[in-house]
Amino acid sequence: MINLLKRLMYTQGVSGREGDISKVIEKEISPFVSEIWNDKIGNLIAHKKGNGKRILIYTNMDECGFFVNHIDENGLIRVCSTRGLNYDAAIYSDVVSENGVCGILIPETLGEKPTYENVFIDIGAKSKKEAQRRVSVMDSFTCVPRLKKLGATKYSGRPLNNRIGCLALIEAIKAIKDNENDLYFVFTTHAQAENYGSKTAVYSIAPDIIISVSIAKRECSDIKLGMGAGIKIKDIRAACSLSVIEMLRSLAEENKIKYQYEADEISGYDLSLVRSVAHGAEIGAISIPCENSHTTAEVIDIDDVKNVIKLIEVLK
Amino acid sequence: MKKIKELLKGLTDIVAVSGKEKDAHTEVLALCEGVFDETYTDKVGNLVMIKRSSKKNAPRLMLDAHLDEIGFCVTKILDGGFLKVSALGGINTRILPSSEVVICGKEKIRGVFSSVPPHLSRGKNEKGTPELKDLLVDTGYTKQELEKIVSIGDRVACRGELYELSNSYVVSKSLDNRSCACALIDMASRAERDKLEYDLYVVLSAHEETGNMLARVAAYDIKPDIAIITDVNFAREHGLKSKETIECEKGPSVDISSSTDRDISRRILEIASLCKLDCQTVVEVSSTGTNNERIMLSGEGVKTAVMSIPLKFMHSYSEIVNLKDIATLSDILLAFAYAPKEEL
Amino acid sequence: MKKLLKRLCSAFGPTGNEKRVAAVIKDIIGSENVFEDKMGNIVARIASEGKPKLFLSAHMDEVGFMVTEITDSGMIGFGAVGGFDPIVLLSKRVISERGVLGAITSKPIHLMSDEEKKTRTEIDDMYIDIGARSREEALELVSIGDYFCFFSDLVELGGDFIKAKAIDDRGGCAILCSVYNELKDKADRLEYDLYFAFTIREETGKSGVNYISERYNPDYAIVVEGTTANDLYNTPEHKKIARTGCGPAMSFMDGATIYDRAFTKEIMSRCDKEEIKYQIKGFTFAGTDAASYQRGADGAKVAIFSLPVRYIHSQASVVKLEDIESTRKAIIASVSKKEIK
Repeated sequence: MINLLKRLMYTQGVSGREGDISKVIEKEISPFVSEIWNDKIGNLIAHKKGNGKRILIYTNMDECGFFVNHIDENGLIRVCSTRGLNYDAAIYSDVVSENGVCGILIPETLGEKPTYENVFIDIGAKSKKEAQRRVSVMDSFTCVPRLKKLGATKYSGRPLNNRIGCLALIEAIKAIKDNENDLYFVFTTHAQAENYGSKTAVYSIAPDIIISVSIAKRECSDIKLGMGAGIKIKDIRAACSLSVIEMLRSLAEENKIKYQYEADEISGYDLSLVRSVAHGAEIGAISIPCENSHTTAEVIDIDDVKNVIKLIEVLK
Repeated sequence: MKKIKELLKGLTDIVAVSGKEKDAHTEVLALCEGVFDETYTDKVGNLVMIKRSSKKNAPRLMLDAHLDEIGFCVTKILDGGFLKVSALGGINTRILPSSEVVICGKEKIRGVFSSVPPHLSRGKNEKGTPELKDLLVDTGYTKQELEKIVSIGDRVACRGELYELSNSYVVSKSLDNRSCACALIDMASRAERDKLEYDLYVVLSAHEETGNMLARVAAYDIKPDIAIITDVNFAREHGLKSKETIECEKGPSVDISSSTDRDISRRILEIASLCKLDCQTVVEVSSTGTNNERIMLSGEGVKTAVMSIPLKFMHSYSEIVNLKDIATLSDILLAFAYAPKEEL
Repeated sequence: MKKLLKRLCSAFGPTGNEKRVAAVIKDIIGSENVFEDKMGNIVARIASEGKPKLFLSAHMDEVGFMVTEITDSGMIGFGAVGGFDPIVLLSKRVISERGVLGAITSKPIHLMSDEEKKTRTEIDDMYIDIGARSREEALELVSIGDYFCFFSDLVELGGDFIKAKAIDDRGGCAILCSVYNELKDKADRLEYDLYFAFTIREETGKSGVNYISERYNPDYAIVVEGTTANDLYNTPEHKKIARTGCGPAMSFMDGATIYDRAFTKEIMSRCDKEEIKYQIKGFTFAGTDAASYQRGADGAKVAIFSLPVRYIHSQASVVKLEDIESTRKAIIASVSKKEIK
């Protein structure tokens, strides 16, 4: 499982550039699903046919990153970035482009709060020409991926957010056999750009129930690492459907899955968006506790992930 | 006026915090006995009540008022019988210490928000605005007893029964937006099928206060020819700018906005003035801050107008509204529904 | 093209009140295969059944003002419909939907305290003076809720540049009208089932594109928009966003959309082949109608041609005619069958 996680994390897929990561996931799950396809904006949709309720389970497969915006005369690269990019945490990091060009992210002047306007990527080019041979405007960069074991069950690295969600869905897809419910698993695009990948998938599938699987930031709620899968009660914009909360709780108890509740008081966007698409749907969410989200030192507990996988499995 | 007051009393007695509207639908329907031809609750918790015109294939007029009220949900059950809650909707935390709540668990129980007595607070908490995370709901039960009644996620509502003040003003909780729900039900109950130019779709919608505005889903299903969204708006009070507010006792307002349909807005104003009914205007330049912005964007588009009732002390449990304004809104909407649909 | 631009730019059409612009467009492109939806979008089609649906899209609305109050002294208070830097408003002339002229005024500098002089004048402190002496007089000419927009004519500057109001996005409308008239009898040469959308309510973000997505569910969309050209003297290169005279700007990302890369690259390679000028736009936080196409219904692949416009969202926006011509060519190259030159 950790090997697969590493493979997912080391495949770059900035928002709008999810082609490679989508292929890795597709290869992994296609023997286990009835049908699988990419929709118009790149969401990877896997269907495990059943005759019961139509449930859509989604997680995002993209990550935060930079795009090359301009190359200066001296060969330094100016960037812009997806939402959610934490410049304070990224400054002075190693970065790598989608084509494998290595560089470092440095500030223009010392002491200023870093934003996209005052940082550069230095790839060691001596001139604009030399830089242009290796990168083009529009190319994506991310901080270099890493994964380290931290103690007995914790892991640290990036981008755990949200390849860990992808891992959970993949493992659940592999484990589910003879499902009664009609299950659609969606690996969404564009989550770091207002999260609208999920919206188009919901529109075309029109599910009865939508379940989001994503990391829960420890700083936004009382959720704790190692205390089990999170069942979301609400986020800042949406209160989850009480029927879904109750369904997840009773499934967890029946199957002896360790769980905790999560009420996000600070963040949250896509649940409120997807619930009112077209004819509407009930919503709920399963969370994976995570610390230091959107940095190069994101931390998760693999035991929580195992509980999340089990909880997805029993949705069958 | 007495009939409206009784209906409003019935409606404000109902607890319907965002996300838990479905439970309230039975109580609402009991108040609307015999008024509608058909009612249903959709997937996301909107209550749709239909009264048809006796004309065949009449155009569809959707009248929307959100049913939900601001409130809280339980996030933790603590030792000593206290609850931690999280806000659903824009809660003014200043008014919470020592206010009363109803907790909708397996049964309804009462509670009080904690407060710090002045002897202890002196010198601290100078900002004067308590944060919800520092407040507890005190129920008096033990933790073990509470766990049998209350589950995580259960809704908590402020308590504030309706009372009549002088000059037809009433004070209550959740007048935002039961005032408009009351006008819509009253209007539908008086509407005569033979005179109706439209099939009426009264939608008491869900999740407005949390900003999810699920009325969009109802509009997607109904595909109305016209939708009129009714909600409350700030009444003119001390300290509020005149251009952002409307006046009590001058009837409802039509909200003029770049997001609403100008012809329908104008038509409502014309009809009101023709029938000598009080109606005012307020400008909400680009957004009205109501369900309108979601309904207008639903499906292939919906032509909308927004009407508001002036309300004082919004988002408190002592909101104040004048019954006459509710009655006038009901009258104007009825006149609109009787008037033939122009080519708009 | 100049004539087209003049007709379209001078039409009155702030967000939510686009009917007069729609009338002009219908007059230009005729009524055959042209459809107006109930909300006011106009969609024209050059039909080729069975091919993928591509929408070319420009919005009809412009930034403007709405009357929010009329003071006892007959001055008109207003709110902004769309995004303004209040700094561009003072002492500009404006006209109402009923043809009432006025000027935007505020406290004269002589009367300002030292403190006030240091702060910017906000829209709340500005009024439109229509010459009325009292509230009663003003009410005869203007009602609460009336629209105003800039009163500004089209003027030719030097170097192929043109100044007008509302070039964002009547420039796009003009290009689309001209492309439509050119291609309408040539469906067999097109790679797509081609639609032309003239849309409403872009400037306040409640875009009419939502209705189009629901009704037509496009496979592709190319938005033709006005964008900030900040190519002024002594602006650092990387802050110019887009440059005049360099052709339409294609974006890889803006504040609301990450554009489809394969589709964008395909268009770029076609432009390269035919030696049509284009540029890659720098990042800005602004969003466009492309966002609504990309996430509407079950989604669409999107790209954008932004017309570089200086001083956008002011009464005197400036555009280079050469860029309009390049954009027109780029669009034709993008939608034609590959083998046909």
